[in-house]
Parts: sequence; C-alpha cells; structure tokens
Amino acid sequence: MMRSAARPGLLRRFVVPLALGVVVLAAAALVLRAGDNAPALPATVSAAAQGPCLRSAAEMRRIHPTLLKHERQAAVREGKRDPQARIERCVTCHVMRDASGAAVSAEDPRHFCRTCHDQVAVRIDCFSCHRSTPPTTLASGAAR
Amino acid sequence: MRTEPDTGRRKALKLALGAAALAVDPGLFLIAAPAQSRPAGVAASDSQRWGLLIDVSRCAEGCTRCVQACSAEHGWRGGGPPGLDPQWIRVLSATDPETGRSVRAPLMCQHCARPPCADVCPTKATFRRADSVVLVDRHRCIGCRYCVMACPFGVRFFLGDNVSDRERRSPRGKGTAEGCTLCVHRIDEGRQPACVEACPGAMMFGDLNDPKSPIREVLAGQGARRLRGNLALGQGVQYRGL
Repeated sequence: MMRSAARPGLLRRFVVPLALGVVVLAAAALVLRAGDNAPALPATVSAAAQGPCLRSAAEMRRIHPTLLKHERQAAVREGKRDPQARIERCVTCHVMRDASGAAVSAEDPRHFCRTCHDQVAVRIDCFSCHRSTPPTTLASGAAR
Repeated sequence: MRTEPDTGRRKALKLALGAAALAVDPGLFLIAAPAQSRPAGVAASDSQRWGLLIDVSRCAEGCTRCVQACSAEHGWRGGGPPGLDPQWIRVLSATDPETGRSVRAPLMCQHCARPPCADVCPTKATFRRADSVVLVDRHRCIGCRYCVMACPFGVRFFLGDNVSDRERRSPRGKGTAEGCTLCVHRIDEGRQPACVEACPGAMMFGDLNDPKSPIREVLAGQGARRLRGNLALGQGVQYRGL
C-alpha cells in the first residue's frame, strides 16, 4: 500500500514537471528557430561606401526603432546631430534598385524597410516626411 | 506700412540721420562672416541667439533670389491655390498711400523669443530650440493648424498634399505644419541660411548674443525694427529701413 501510494507522489513530484519542462524547452527552441528564420536581409548596395552600420545586424533588427526614436528626439529638439545616425545614411546604404538601376522608394514593396515591415504588418510613417531614397549627392557615392 | 505724415522738422532730422549713417558706413552691404559649426553630439545652447537683419533699402526690385534659394533648399513650390500655398519665404511690397514711398522686403518665420505658435500647440510639436530657432517637430505634429492661425505674420503653413521623394529635400510631409526653419541643418554645420547666401547684400545672419558679431555691430550702429513691435514677441528677424 505504501509503495503504490508513493508512486503517484513521485510521478507528480518529478515526472510531470520534467515532462512540462521538456515541452517548454522544445517550444522555446521552436520559437527561437522561427526567429532565426526571419526573412534574410536583402542584399544591400555597398554598405562599406558609407562605413559600418551603427550596430550588428542582429542588434539592429531588435533595437532600430529605439535608436531611431532616441536620435530623432536629440536631433530635432535638442540639436544634437550625429552624422553617423542619420536616417539619410540608413536609406543610402540599404538602397534597393529596380531593373533600370533607379533607387526604389518606400512606396515600392521592394524597399529595404518594407521587405520586413510588410511581413510583420507594421506600418511605419518615417517616409511620409523623410526621403526613402538616397539624396542625389549620396546616391552616386553608394552606387560606386 | 503706414507712416505718419512727415513734418519739415522730421524730414530734416531723417536726412541728417541718413547722412550720418552713410558717413559711418558708406555703401553698407550686409555680409557676415561664416558662423562656427557645432560639433556632432553637442546640443544647441542658449548662449547663441540666431537672428536675421534685413536691409529693406537694399532689397532690389524684381529680385526673388531668396525665395528661389529657399524653395530649392527645402523643396517646396509656390503657385498653389490660395491658402494652401507654402510660402516659407515671400517678398512683400507695400506702398504708403500718403507719401507714395514703397518698400519691399522678404518675410519668413520671425523666430520669436515668445512664439505664439508654440504657445497654442497642443502637442508641443512647435517649439523654440535653445538657440531660439522656432521649429516644428513633425514627429509630434497632429496637423491641427492652431499655429497657422496663431502666427501674427502668416508665415506658418499646412501641407495638405503628399510630397514625392524627388521634391523632398528637407523632411516635410502631408498633414503637418511647416515654415522657415532658419535652415537649422545649415546653421548646425556652420553655414548661412540659404536665403542669406543667395541674397546680394540685403540680408545678414548672425548671433545676436555675441556683441562682437557683425550683425550686432550693424544693429548697434544703425538700429533696426521688429515687425508688430506692439506684440513684444522678441523676434530674431529684424528690419532696417522700414
């Protein structure tokens, strides 16, 4: 009697939590792998022409909204300008070109920002005011 | 633009003053030395107070170089329907009906020290930067147009149309208020505003807080007036010879 009573206790104490743990871990692994399977970054034109990106690609994926928000506050309201952190520089490095070689604007689904933002259904309004294509002077530099 | 009827005594006084001004500074052309650029990452400070001095007597008939330069710099185009036409800068001409004297002068955001547009802005999108440049933070602007109505000079505009990438040189977008930025992007790099650079000698840009700056020297010597002085807004833009 004692033994048979102890068995369900053991099951409840160790086996169930263990099984639950395994399930949670497996789910986490699945989710993480799904994260890795995010759309590959589209090829960029000569990022080196404008120097290295502000952060690594993995970091940029996570925190670019925070960076953009921080920089816009500092630049517009306080006048702290960082030439390395201009949105102009983002769209210059990450310019996407159509068959004729012209830079595509954010109205085109091929635009760098839209390749991910369309997939996750996040609408951004940066380009309702900012240029989404390189300024003409910088574009020639990026195309080199 | 209305002036009081001249009396003989006043005329004589004016003549004497004019002669004195010519003697002090014959052929005064408003040309300022380039300002200092601010290093990256340093905030604008209230130790500087940017201002414009416009010599009305040198604003040449038929010249619209300042307007063209501004339009090219910021990508706005005039000629739209009345009320919707963005005119970040425009040239006004006025004639005194009594004396027949006519003047013309460019009018743009006056960059008030106490800006009514910023007072009425419900989201604090319109604000005065530390160096007294009045700007619209379009990230916050909700397009209510209060600032357009509050501005006593009619130099705030509302952009109701989409702007294409080709036209967009400085950030401006549909549904936000806009106006002269005193070319902050140029000032921060130590350059002159586009209108001043294009003007053949009737406009001067400089730091009103620096007693040694050319603009202060001209102001100290010749004096200038602010438009609608009765409103005591402390504008950064001042006019000479009105």
